[in-house]
Amino acid sequence: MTQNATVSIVDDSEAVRTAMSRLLRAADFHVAEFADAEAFLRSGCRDAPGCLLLDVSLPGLTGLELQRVLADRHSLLPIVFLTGHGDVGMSVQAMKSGAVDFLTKPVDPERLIEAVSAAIARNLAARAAHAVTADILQRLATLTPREREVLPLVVSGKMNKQVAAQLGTAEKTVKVHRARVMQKLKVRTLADLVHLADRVGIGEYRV
Amino acid sequence: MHQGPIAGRRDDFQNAPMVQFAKPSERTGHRSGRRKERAVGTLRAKRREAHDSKRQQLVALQRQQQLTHLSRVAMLGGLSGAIAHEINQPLTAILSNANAAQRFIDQGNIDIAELRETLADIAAEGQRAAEIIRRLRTLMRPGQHPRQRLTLNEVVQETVDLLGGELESRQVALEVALAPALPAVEADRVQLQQVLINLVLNAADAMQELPAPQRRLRVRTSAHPGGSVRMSVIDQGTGIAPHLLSKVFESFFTTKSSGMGLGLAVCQSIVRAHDGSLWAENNPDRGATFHVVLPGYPPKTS
Repeated sequence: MTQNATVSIVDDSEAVRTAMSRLLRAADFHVAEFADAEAFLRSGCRDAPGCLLLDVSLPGLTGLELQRVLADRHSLLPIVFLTGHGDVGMSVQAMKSGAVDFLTKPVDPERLIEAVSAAIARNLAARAAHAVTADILQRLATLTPREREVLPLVVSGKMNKQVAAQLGTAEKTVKVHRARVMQKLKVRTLADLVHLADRVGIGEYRV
Repeated sequence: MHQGPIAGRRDDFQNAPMVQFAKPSERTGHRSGRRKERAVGTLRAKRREAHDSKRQQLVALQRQQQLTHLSRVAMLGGLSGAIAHEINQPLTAILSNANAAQRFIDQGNIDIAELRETLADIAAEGQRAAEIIRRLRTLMRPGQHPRQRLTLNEVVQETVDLLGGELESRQVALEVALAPALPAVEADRVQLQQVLINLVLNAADAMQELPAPQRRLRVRTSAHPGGSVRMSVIDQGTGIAPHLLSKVFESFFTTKSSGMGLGLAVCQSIVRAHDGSLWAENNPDRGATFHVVLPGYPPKTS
């Protein structure tokens, strides 16, 4: 098995679960099976890397309801929906709510593998981006209040003299703050600082 | 030569041709000298009347069977979504299993035990699909099906198997309460299934406008003193206006915009043909219940 990613299959038909699980394992994926949405939520899988292969019609919490629950908790887990009904309205709703794909049964095995691959790739990228952002936010938290004032002004391209004037302080002081900010945020060039700030929405547009 | 459309009544369900009673060959009020002739003529007339009455019964029976078949076809048309869903499940399993096995082999991963299991699953799912189609074909068959000894519990179970997917997609929660040790009935299995399918789908329709968590449907069987058995379909819908409680069973009565109004009328005639009764009641809290009562087998001789 290549990546540390798990496909969570949620379908109340045991025959379908077993078969899709077998297929995905043959295609080199890790798989976890669940008979209903509640069982999936109780497991640790929803916070782990991977994706969700979800049947729309489930006993108890429905597939669409599970999608909403995950969205409410800002889950990064991508969802590939499955349905035995071919309901267009439902598929539109699922896609609008952020599903990666919507497949109708009987599912073409190649299509299934493609959809799962795409979903996992999307998840790994999202998790990586999320990790970077989290890391940046952590670093930002180490800035002093004054440093936090200096950062957006520097990033917006103002010269030290202008920053000093705006903040009512000496240019020398600004230089020191700027150096400390770069050090704490672990960047060496202004360009890197700008990228980092951009990443978390700090810039001329932020007050 | 006759050109253009031929006027006259078409032999369809609404306007079956009228059966003509033979006119008595004798007129009444003749002089006594004709009495013997009249007696013979009256005898002939009576025989002809009996013959025509029999023919009329046959026509009526034929019409009834056509109506039953039409209603069954219409019902199955409405079920097509449910049917497709039931078959899509085994098909999905078969395709996934087959592709998996092919991949394993291509990768040189020949785990005989797993491959054997995979093939067994494929076979089992194929059987499942075949069984669904077989059952549907049975339902589709026109004409009489033989009567057999069976229990209402079996009928309920088979109907639940057939309709499970459809009810789930409509987000109707189904609760089944089957009485243990239920006496058997002697009945046409397919016809009883048709009755129950009709009642269950009607109940689901009645609850369509309700928010999903409130769509609860119950099917109950129970035994009665005197040996009869009862099957009840209980919904939580808006109920039936009291003055319509018996009218709903009339032919061509429907409240649906796309309804044909044959379902309940046919159901009642099926139940009556089994010496049973079918009626509707409003529930004390909300919704309606349709009861089917049939005599148990062996019939109690009092």
